[in-house]
Amino acid sequence: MADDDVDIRELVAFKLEREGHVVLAFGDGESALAEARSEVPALVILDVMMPRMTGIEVCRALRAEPSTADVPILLLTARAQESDVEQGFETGATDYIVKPFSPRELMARVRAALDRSDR
Amino acid sequence: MRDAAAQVLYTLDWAILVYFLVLNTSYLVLLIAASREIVRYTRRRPFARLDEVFANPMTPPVSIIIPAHNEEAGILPSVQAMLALRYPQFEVIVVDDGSSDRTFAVLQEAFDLVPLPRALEGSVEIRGALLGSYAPRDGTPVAVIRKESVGSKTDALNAGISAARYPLVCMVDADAFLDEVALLRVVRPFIDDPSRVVASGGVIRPANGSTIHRGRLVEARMPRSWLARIQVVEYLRAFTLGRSGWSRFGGLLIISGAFGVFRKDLVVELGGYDHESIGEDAELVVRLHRHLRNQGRDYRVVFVADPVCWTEVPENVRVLARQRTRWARGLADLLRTHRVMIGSPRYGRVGVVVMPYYLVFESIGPVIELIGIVTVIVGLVFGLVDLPFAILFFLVAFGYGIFLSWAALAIEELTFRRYARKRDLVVACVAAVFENVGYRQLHAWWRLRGLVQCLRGKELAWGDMQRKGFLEEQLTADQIVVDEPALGRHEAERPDEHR
Amino acid sequence: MSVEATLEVAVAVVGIALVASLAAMVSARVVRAIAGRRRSRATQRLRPLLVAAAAGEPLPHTALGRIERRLLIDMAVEYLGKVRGEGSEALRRLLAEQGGLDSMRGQLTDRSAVHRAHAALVLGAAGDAASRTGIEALLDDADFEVRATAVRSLGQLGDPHSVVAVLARVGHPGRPLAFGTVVMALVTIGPACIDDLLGVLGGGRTPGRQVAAEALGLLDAVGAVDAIARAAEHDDDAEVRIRSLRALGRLGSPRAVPVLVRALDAEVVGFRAVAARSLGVIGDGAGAVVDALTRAVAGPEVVVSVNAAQALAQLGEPGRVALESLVRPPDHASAGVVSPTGDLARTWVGPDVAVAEALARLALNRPPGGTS
Repeated sequence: MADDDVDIRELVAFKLEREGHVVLAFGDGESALAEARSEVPALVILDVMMPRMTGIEVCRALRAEPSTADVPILLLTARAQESDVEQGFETGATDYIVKPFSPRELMARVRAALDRSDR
Repeated sequence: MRDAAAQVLYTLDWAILVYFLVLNTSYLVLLIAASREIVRYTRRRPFARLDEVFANPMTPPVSIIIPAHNEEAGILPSVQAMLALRYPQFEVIVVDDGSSDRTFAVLQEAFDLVPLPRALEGSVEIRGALLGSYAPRDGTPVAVIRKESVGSKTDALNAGISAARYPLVCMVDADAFLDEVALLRVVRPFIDDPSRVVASGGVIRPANGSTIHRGRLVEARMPRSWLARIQVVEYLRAFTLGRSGWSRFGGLLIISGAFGVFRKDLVVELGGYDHESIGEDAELVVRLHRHLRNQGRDYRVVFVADPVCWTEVPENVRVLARQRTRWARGLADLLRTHRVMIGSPRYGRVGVVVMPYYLVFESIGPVIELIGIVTVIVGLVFGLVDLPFAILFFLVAFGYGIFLSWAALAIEELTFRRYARKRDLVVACVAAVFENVGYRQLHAWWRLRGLVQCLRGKELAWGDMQRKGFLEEQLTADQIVVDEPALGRHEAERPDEHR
Repeated sequence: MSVEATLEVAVAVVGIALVASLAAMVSARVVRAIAGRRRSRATQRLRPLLVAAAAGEPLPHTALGRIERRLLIDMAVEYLGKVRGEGSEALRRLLAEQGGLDSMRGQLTDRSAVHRAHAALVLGAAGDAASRTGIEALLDDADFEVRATAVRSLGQLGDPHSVVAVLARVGHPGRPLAFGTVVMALVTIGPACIDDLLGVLGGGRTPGRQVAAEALGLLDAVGAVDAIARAAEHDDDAEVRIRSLRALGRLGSPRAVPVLVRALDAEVVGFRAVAARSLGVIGDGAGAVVDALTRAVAGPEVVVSVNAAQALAQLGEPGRVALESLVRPPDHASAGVVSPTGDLARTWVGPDVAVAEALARLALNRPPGGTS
């Protein structure tokens, strides 16, 4: 996952690890992208508004490459305007979660996304 | 005869010493007012409710206007950085003012621009021919207006204002770097006091030497060249203190052209920027004051003390000289155009305090300063002035000034603390000394030239001067450290740079 | 006084001043460094606790020192801004347990405005219903920041009983409340406000009516369409009318259409512009609407033309047909060709360009670009 906010990173990592997942958390989009390219993850969670490379750009980059094109991507953002949601889905995101978010809801969506991709 | 000369010189020098005393004390007063304001501001920063401003459906949308002339190197990161600003709703309008380089091509490739007609607000005067209006195919809120250049940034700004659709307009220089929350901070006064706030400006600081990544300042550092370092201290004192102080007195006269937010309807009412003016950004604000006071409207021009905008400053003495001469000329011009306001109670504090202050201390002041210093030195050489007096003079002129600069640095340390490294603080202290001893006198000379040019009338084609100044400042864009993972990329961007 | 004596005094004064400022700089750094280290150590200790709470985990009771408790309060408030649901509940329990809420309630009447505002902020974030009356008292505070934070916190507390108190003080001459903050708070409280807002819209003071008009639109108060439509046509205050017209657009009810169509012929430009935009948002493509908007496009004001053209673009097929019928054969003016005189802006001004823009946006499938 990538989010420039350390609180969110720790929270999401905590929740995911509780459920038995292995989490690699990054503070910016570029490092997350580099990591995703070297070892394809089961799921990617991206904050949209990050300083150096936005979540949308990372999403686009991931979708552009064959190895990562099918990885489920969850976008997390405080920005909930219709145009942003639309743009998010247009770039190929699997799901879109608005901040402030419910950690339980996040986990439900993670599970759903993983289930879907397994099938 | 010699005694008479000595007597005259002595009196003159005492008079000028008193001038310095008054000048520096006025700075001290501003400093005290500003420091209280800044401390108050920083204590309240946790309540800035920026996340609320972001989430509030009532937060007014903003049209960001970027005038661009031959900005192929920096325009894309700049626009991308603007798009990544933390703000709920806004559009970015780039006005390609007759660029001869690949400014437009760069944008066209990056955003997949397609022609999209744009109806303009018709009452603001635009002189250059309008060539085309473009927007990204995918709906990203960017608009690019291409027009012919008439050698004036004013024209580009007016074109941008005409094209703007939202109630607030924000003018940003193409080479300025904004903090992510810059808009949120600078727009907040409009939300808190929507019926009165008409314009808002933030603190500008030199970006030289700082780490920039993709149009965003990552870490504030002191520049490497002494000239830029001196300007950092200068800006710190002038902006953080000068403007905060004036804002507290209700007399904010200048909102920098590099970054300012205005209510669009008022700017249109004023007819946009003035084509004949050299310091068009300051002129607009003065005209705003004049117009609103003439109408008896209750209004506020606000200054937000946060450092949110960073811009390149010249590191080349010639370019700097040209810039400062132009600014001084602009100020003198502006004071002349609006001389009706000077001393007039009809214009409240702006007329009675601020404009006379600017006239005496900022416009004519350099003349007095130079006369004082020259005569004291001459007097010392010829024995007309004794040593203790000379030392006293320089102490009041320089020592007091150094104290003020150091006090400004202390306030920065206590409040915003953008310069993290210890070394930077030491460098700043030393630069502050040179700012007062050497730089200031040189600056006074440049300002004097500006004043003289203004008094001599518009013999120079102002268009020439403006354009040259505008252009030359772009050429000094080699001091920014770009934090890219592959250093080679930085070199590839500027193949002609010799370091 | 002799020059020498003055000099001595001056040297002393300047010397002391210089040393004092250097000392201030150095001590600021040192103090900051020490405090910073202490704070980060405390933060490190507290962080796991907060993350667990935010994740909704049950927490063991932990004893914390005074400084840690203060830090905990601020960190908890930060987290509360980022999570919802069971995470929020656990964080609030943590705050209550650690006595943070008691001390904050007491701080509501502190001498320092910054402390009062801080208290209001924390209590609002923590959802402490018990402090509602205490925070409402802050609506009359002398300090603007305190009042604004109080409004916001009341919004977060979500109790509709606060609505009346807030609305009563909106336009208070000496101690005004920020319009936007009030509206946001009302929207946060939610549909429970609607009845009170309708009451104010019907007969309250002007500032209250302005807030009510705006907020009702944002609250999706579809049942209130008639009341808002009445206000849009008959209210005394122009701003109330404009906000009502805008609200009608947001509500999206076709029942508002006749009022909006009539507003297209209003005297005030602002009314016409907003009405056009709202008609576009509602999207009803009936003949009368299309005709009225088509007339509006041809009007003299740019903002009305643009909004009307964009609105037509949003009305589906009938709107598109109407737009195309407005397209005049291209002449040199609308092609944007260079003309040597000064009024070049005219080439991009006027109904032709507005129509061309609306059609182009439609073709590109882009969102409307009208003036808000």
